[in-house]
Amino acid sequence: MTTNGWLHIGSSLYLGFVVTFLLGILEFDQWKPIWFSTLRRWLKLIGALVLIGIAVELLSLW
Amino acid sequence: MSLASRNPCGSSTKGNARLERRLSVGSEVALVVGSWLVPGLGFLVKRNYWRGVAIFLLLNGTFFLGLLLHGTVLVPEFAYSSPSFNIVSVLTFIGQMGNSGASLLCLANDHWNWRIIRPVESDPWFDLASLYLLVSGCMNYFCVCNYYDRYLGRQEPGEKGAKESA
Repeated sequence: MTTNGWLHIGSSLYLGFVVTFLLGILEFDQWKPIWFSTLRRWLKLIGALVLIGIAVELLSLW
Repeated sequence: MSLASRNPCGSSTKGNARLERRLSVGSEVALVVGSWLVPGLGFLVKRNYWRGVAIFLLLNGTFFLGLLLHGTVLVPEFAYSSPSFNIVSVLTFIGQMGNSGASLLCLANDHWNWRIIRPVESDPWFDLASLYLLVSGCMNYFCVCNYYDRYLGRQEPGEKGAKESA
C-alpha cells in the first residue's frame, strides 16, 4: 500500500479516536468511564468502517 | 436616609440583583463566544481545568495536524448563481469555522499574506487536511453546546419557580 493509503487509514483511526474521546470527555466526569466509553465507541465506529470497506470491495468485484 | 430605608419593599436590592444578573449573563455570553474562539476556554474559566486543557489540546492539535498536511480554511463562493458555487464547500467552511480562533488565523494569513501557514491546494493531502480542520471545528461546536448546557442552560429550581410565578 502507498504512503497515501496508510495516511488515510491512520487518519481514520486518529480522527475516530478524537471524536469518541471528546464525546466521552463531555459526557463523563471521571477518567475510567471516559476511557471505557471511548474504547466502546471507537471499536463500534472502526467496525462499521471495516464493514463498509468490505461491502465496497465486494461491490467493486461484481 | 439610605435608599433601602426609604423603600421598605427593597426595590433597590431587586434592582441590584437584576443588574448583577444582567452583568452575569453578559459575561456568560462572552464565555460562550470565547469558547467558540478558543476551544476549552469556558471550562478553564469555570475551573474545570482538566476538561478545558483536554479539549484545547485535542482540537487545536487536530487543527495543527491539518495545517501540517498543507491544509487551510478556504472562503467558498457564497453566491448561489455563480458557476463555482458548491454547497459542500459552504458546509465545510461553516464546519471549519467551529474552531474559529485558528480558522480566523488561517483566513488572516491568506488575506494579509503573512506566510506563516503555507497551504498547497494542489497537494494530494489537501482534502484530508480539510477533513482534519473540519473535525476540529465541528467538535468544538459540540464543546460549546456542552458548555452552554452545563453552565447556562440549566436553571436553579428556585429561579425557575420565581419566573413561573411572575
